[in-house]
Amino acid sequence: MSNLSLASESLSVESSKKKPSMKKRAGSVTRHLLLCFAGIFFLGPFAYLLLTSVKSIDDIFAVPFVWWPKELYWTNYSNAVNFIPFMRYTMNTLFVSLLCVAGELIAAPLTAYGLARIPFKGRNFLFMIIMATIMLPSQATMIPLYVLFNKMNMVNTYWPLILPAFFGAAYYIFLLRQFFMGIPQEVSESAKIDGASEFRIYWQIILPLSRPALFTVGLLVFLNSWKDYQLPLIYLNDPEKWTLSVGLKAFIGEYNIEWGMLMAAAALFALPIIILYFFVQKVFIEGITMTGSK
Amino acid sequence: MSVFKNKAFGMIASIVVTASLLAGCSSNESSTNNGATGKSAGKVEISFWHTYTDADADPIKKTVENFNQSQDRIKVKILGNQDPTKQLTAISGGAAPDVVLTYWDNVGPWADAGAILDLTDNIAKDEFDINTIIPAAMDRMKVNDKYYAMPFTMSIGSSLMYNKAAFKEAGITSPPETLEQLFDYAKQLTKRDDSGNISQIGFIPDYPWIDNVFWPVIFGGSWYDEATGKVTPNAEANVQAIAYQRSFYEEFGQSQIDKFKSGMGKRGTPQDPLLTGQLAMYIGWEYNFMQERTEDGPIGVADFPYPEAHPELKGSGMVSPRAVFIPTKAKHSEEAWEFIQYLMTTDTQIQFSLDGHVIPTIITALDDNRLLSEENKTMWTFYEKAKSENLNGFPNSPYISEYLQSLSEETEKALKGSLSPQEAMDNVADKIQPLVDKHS
Amino acid sequence: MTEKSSNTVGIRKRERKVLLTGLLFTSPWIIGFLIFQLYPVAASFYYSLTEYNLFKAPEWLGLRNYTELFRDEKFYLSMYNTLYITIVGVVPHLAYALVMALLLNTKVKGQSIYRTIYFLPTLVPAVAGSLLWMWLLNSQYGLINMGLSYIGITGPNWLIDPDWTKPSLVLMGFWGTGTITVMYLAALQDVPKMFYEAAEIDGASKWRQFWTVTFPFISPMTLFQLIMMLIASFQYFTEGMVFAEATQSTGGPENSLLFYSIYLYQQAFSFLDMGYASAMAWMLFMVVMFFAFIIFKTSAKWVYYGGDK
Repeated sequence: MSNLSLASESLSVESSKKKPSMKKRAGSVTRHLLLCFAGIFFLGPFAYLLLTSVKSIDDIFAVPFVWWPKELYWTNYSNAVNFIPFMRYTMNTLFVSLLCVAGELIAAPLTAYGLARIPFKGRNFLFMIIMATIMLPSQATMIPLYVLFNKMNMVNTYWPLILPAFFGAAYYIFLLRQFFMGIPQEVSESAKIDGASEFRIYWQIILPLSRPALFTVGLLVFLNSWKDYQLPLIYLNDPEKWTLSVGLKAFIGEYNIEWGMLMAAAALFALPIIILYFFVQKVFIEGITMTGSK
Repeated sequence: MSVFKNKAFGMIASIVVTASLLAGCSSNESSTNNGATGKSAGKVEISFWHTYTDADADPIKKTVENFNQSQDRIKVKILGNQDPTKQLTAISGGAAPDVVLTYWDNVGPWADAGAILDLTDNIAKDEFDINTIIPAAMDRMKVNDKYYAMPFTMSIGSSLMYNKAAFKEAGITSPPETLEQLFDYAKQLTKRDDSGNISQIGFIPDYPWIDNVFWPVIFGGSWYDEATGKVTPNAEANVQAIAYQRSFYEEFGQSQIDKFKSGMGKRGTPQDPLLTGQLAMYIGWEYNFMQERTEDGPIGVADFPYPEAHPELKGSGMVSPRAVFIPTKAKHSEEAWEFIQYLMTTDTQIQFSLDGHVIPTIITALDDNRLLSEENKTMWTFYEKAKSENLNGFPNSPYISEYLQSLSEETEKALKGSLSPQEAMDNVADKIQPLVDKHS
Repeated sequence: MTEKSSNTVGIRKRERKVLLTGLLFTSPWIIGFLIFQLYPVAASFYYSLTEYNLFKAPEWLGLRNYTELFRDEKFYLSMYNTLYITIVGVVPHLAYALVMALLLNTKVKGQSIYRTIYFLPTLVPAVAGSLLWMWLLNSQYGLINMGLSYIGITGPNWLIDPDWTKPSLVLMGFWGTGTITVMYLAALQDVPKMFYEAAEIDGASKWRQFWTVTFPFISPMTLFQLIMMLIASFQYFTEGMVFAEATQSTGGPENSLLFYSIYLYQQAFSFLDMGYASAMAWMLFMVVMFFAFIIFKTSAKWVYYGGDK
């Protein structure tokens, strides 16, 4: 496991760096400026969402634009939460999303490992097939897939949303394959000589080394399944089973949209993922130090 | 390493637990699967899907509740927010509900494809009198000369809505009677700032959208000739309708209108251009400005103008009904038909129209005193308009989507001046006629 | 050497064992494919050779749907729109996300906050996002044109002028790059720091360090992003629908937003021509396959895998 020691070594080198030179300091200032500018750009949409969520309908559409509302309409939030069974939809969404994460984290790394680190005959062909399956637009396969789930008696259950995750999605398989292929062969070679099985190498060496990648996949799966609208709409019939993204539609009437409530609900919709992300992104920094200390 | 191992086992254990939970809760569900149709306690349960989201679903929920209480053989299970894509997927995918409420223009293609039950037998069997229904609405339910659906409710575009203050300011005392007056008034109501940019406009013929049916109706146009089996988008009246719209662009300038349009407030909000007076006149439907079109409100409602040369077209308007139908694959089509008949009774129609502030499709309901409540006052004029002989709509057909799409595309070109109105409408005819020939 | 030639049976046995292990590892996907994907994929291919309206039994047409495509002007138009958004959008978005990831990967104060901020736009639901766009891109009061007018440029009529609707979408796309940035951040953790040390000692500039150290290590991620963004871009759908909705028509002004998948959807769900739509899907499949193949072929030259021997 030579690369691990390398990593920790380089970290310690970095932390013991000497005082930054003038040039470096100038560099860091420009970096800060850049980050700030980009930060404002990226903060924009969300700040807009938050501001709109506490505005009255008059302020939301005021021309020219009103930045700060004359009066804060916090009631948008309480109204939104009461207008739809918000808690119930949140729990449903959480349930679906967490199971999707679990499923994807079991299936995708396994498949990716097979593709990346086991030189079996036909693996390139298999990889090609996996990639090919996502090149066909989903609109063309939507109805046959529905027929399939209907035959399996799974319409109006959560199965069509969750079950496919337990067999791995091409997107995450490809992503993890790329990570696994980047890990030097020497890492597993010594273990192989010691007679460790392929699964042991996968489980005890490769997976721990891939924490940042696995957390990324977990985060993305959670995010995508949290935001998904099409599948829950198509497969869930009982309103009690709906997820948040479907529930959000309740604010959009045919001729009249409850903008204030919609924005408040949208802000609440995003909240769990923000919290999750805030913690997960730390792993990107800590990932190496933790595996390195083993 | 061992720490990780334990964690991993913990993770797997928790997954197994949640997975078994999932299995547990869904095994309950699979027994009440697929819109939960079936018999329970002697009652037949039928599923009814509609397009309303929770924001507008109260009136239809109440109607279903009333039906469920009115008898003890059928229980209707209602499900909202079912957009046409989902409706289509479920019906095609083998999990069709028993009754579907959808937009009328879906009926043509779906019926022709074999997804919708032909109501002819049911109508005959129960001696259901379709002559009680407003003809312009009932005609929209007809595909290949058969009725496939019932018009549960309808919208009418036959009004001119206008900003009263803008009229007053311009010294206009009454709304325009004829299309020629509309054009003159529009000029009077348009203002420009010092740099020549439009700051207020009288009328935009394709706001909020390109009206590919409304305008030809106003001009007495047609789309299909039964006798010859030819589509007629390029008939004289249709072309005139496009040319008339084009004249506004010639008068005010294409880029000027476009620029002004993009700066207008959002429709249906307090910044709606008709409310702010940015726009003085507007093609009105009964659902527009419900609160603001009261006697002392800011918005006035008038009959939409007619061509001066054709006074017989006075009171013309476009009808857009909402259709309720039974899928061919419905499991309980008998009960579904009973529910549909309930929806079409005068009493139900009146109750729903009162609750939802919509227009009933039963002729006698239009004169019923119950609808003329003070609280429903802004609807009164629309009940009158619904009696007009000159209401019309686009013929329903297997190729209606292609036809409407093509009309929009070519009208857009004509309005922008890249084609003449005649050329544009000829294009539509060329494109759609082969589809007609294929289907006949 | 001698071992090898003397025992081919052993090699075969080992090969078989490797094959078995490989298949075992990849079995989740293979099983999933057989259960959930094989039938829909095969069905759509069959439909593409038939006339099928979703309800009546499909009628065999052979290749007629495919030949029909080449006579359909909207096929070309929607393909053009899609190629436009792909060519103009993918590389700038990718480069932008990479730059952001590099900036975020350095030790700066408030790093976690920045990282969270960059991720936020991807969390705004489309309905809320579209409202924001409408306001930003409003040609008269919009923030973008107001900004442009400060530097003396009269901004275009973004949402109405058919020449500008697609650039508007590309512009908005920069906000969605947060997830790409996140993935790059994860990839950047795999770059061994010692290489930078060595490069620094050699006196290599930051720019050079990027190309000789950083880029090779994150090249597998770049390949992934290129391929995935290519596929996603060719299937561009939701944003185009939301945008077009604002202009009250399926294809936007002069069909400038009629993307391939939107036209396909229209054919399938509005015109009920699932046969034609399926042919469109398989045509797109071939086009994407072609581009992906080229990228994969050239990748041997610029993608470096740490695990390669």
